[in-house]
Amino acid sequence: MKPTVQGEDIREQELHWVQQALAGDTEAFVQLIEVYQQSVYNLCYRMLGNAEDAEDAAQETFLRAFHSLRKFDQQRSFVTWLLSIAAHHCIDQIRKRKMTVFSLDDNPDLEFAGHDPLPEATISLREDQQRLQQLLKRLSETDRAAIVLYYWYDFSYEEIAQSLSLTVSAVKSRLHRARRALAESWLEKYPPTSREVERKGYESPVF
Amino acid sequence: MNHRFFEERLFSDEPLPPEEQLLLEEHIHSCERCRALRTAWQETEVELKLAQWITPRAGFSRRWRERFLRHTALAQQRRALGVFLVTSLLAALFAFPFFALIASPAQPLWLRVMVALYNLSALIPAVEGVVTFLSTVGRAIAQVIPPMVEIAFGMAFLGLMAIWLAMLRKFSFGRVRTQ
Repeated sequence: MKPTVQGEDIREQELHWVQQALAGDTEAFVQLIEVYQQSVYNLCYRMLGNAEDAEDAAQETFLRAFHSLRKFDQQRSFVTWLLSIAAHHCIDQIRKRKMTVFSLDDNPDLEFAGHDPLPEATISLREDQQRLQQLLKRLSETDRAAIVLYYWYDFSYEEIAQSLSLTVSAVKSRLHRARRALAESWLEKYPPTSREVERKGYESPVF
Repeated sequence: MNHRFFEERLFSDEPLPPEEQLLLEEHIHSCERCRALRTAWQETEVELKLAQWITPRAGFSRRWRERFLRHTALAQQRRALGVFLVTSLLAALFAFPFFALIASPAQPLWLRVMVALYNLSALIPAVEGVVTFLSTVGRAIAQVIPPMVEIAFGMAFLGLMAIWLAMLRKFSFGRVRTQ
């Protein structure tokens, strides 16, 4: 289940922490990190594709957020603002490093939320993640960010537009293009004939 | 309506009017490519929606604290260095015109510098000890620079050192608030 990131109580609490952090209390900011570390890390991981870069990007996101906390409009959602910083940072990193190679094999310490300790289940999860990352890497960095924010974080078009500094129509257009690219990649990887063959392989020949 | 029209509709998440939806279904029924694309997208969408959240390694906030302290210390050192360089530059800019104003026009600066360098170069091969060398350097400097300028330089240097030490203390050794 995807963690929820909002709610009236947590909103009040996070504003309190933000104000304390603005007064120079880093421990209050650490409380915000405790709440949002998974959201930020997951976004960075989906964007960058490996644990090491995701850790670095997530840490940098919180550092940037702390230093630019005065720019945070307290009428807005803190997590939207935070994820916006993370998305922009990841987009910059991808552009800078020209990251094209995604590999989960280099990440033995990969951890899944609520994961099953059974090795078979872990292997299955790793395979699922690998397949997903292979699909995401086909997208441009901004399209990838739009897809991740839309499907993992349930962001509205407006929130994605705000986070990625795009117009709403640009977000719609990017999501549409990304969906098409993902479907074509899927089709390329698993053509209907191969799926038919796979199905027939384990189905009873009687039926 | 052509094939492209229907293909575009496959990836729209906005609801279609009933009549368009019907036409789309008819098209998908007859078009193998659109059928395959729709199935592919439906499977991908399921994959996206069921994807697990990935968590960072334990101790994320502890590592952030360490990074924050490192970053803060580095930023303070950079600021202190910046202040030092700027004040040095300003001191040099102010000191040289002052020096030129009070220097004797009979002895151009470049000539006095050349003489001092000559004295130094002549001294180095025959140096008998560090004390002798330093005292000769002192004498060479004293020959070139008038006492007023020496005092002015000394005062400027002391002032610069005081500013630098104050900045260093403020930016590098000041405690980082963690609570």
